[in-house]
Amino acid sequence: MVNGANNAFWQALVFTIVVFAGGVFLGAIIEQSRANHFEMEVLNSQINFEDQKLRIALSQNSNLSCDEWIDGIFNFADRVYEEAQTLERYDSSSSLSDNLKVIHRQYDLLRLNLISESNLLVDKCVDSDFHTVVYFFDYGSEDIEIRSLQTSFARVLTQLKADNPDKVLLLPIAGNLELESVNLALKNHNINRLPAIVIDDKYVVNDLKSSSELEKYLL
Amino acid sequence: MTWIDFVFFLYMFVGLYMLSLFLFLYLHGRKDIFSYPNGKIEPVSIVMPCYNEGEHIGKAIEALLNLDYPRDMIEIIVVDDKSKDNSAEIISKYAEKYSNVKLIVNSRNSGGAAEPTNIGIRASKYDYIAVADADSEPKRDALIKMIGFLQNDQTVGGVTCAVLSKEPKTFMQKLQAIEYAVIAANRKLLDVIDAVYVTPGPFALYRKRILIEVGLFDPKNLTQDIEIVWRLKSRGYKARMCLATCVYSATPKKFSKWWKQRVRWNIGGTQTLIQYRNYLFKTGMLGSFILPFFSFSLFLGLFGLLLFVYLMLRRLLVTYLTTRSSIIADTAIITLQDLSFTPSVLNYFGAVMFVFGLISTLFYLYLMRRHINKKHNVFNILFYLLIYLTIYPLIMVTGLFKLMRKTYTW
Repeated sequence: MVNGANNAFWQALVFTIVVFAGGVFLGAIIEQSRANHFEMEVLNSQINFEDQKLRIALSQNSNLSCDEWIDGIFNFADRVYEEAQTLERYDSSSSLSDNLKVIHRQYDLLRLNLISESNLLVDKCVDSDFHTVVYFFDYGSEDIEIRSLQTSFARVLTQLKADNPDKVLLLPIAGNLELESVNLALKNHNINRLPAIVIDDKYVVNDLKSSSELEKYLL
Repeated sequence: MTWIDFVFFLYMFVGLYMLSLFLFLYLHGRKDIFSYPNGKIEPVSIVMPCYNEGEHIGKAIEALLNLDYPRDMIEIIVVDDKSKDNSAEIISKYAEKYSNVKLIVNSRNSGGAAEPTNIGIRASKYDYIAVADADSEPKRDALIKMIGFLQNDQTVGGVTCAVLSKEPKTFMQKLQAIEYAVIAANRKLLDVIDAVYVTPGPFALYRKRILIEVGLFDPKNLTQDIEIVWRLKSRGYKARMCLATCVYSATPKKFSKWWKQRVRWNIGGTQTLIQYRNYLFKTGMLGSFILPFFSFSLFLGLFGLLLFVYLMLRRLLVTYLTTRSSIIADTAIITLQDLSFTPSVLNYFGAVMFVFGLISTLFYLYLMRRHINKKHNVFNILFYLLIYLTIYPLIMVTGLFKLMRKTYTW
């Protein structure tokens, strides 16, 4: 045996721990930078939302038309929806931290705010033809059947939104992130299993339906 | 972090540790990696078991006759294990022509290499025994560069050299050529810590007295060349590796033959592992490194395969259920969102580990360039790393299954 070669075992262990720890640290930085990016996005969205609300409040008695109001909400909701999709992708590839879960909660609150905003809109613009479709899903479910079902629900709703871009306000919200307001919304609609779809605050759909079947609720 | 993420991190940690260990072993032993003790010319008996090797036996004998070693100091004993082809006929011609070539025909086909080798050893007249495969050709300087290891240290029982692929032609052979070169370099690095665990059949040198003392090769073991080293080590003897020379060995041309050979090696390895289980964590490199290393590798391989199967089945089930419900809901079966890929930290780790693995493979091939004329193709190297090595857990399972059912043959 070469003199001192036995030390290779410890040297390799120390080297591996250092390199591995460095890798984990770099990984945590990558995940943190993703979380930071989304923190900024959600903050921007919150500011935009507050701005939107203020604009509506300030122009209650002015000439802000329903169309402008609807356009504003739709553009905003669509942007939040896209951000949420990206967040979903990053979230599913996150291994080291739960930072993105908190951001998920923030986005859910934002979308819940949008529901009440759209309800106001329905009251004010009675003749307008738009519909709020709220999709409550089971966040981070490990149940294979629920995961598969949710994938299909998401595809159907994406199709519904694609077929009716100016008519459907699609708001996906995680139903199990321990937000009191979300729990209340679920309770109000007697939803005790996820996933579920609430259309125009009236219809609750628990079973998987095709896009065309869902369109019937929009008539 | 899920338990699966944790297992992946653990595998990567172990992989990185093994790569680092070999790196440090190289740093410790790099000065002597190709060195060898000067040997004196002393008579050597070369024992060559043979079964149905008509295609190779002539060249193999000639390679032994052409060794850079005085011919009158070599005795070549070819033991034919009742070949069905013309092997015995070819050997007879050499025996007639050269007085130092002898043919012994076994009274029965033993179905392995151990029994004919033992017959040859018993019939030999010299103190040093070289064992050679009938489909292998040692480099001319093999014997003279290896014998010094035995002469300089009385506790050395066996010496091996680099085993390299002989004239790789088919794709399978080219992959094996890479594998053999990597294994040879790795084995020399294990020699730095006295952890050589096999003296492969193609060409190895032993001290006859020690072989007889430990009871010769085990005919019941499918890898008698691994078992003999573990037995030597369990009795306090050493096995050494000489990287300064090599032997070129024929490798299976087709996948089916290769698979059969690897399953046999795995069965033999596992047989040896079971046989020497009581030495686990006991003093000496056998108990403190070789046995834990083999046991852990076996466990990781099997667990990794099980995990892979579990993840694939889960994935298939999710795809099936999603497709079924998508059809029911009359919506898209696949969307662009499904195809998008966001790399996770685990993916980055995997990529970095692959790069480390690639670098070490290239480095080992670079080390072995003195024995290999042809350069390895980049595609073959990548295929070796990405596909070839991943087949091993399947071989392990097949080997274990056959071992349990006792349905194995040579």
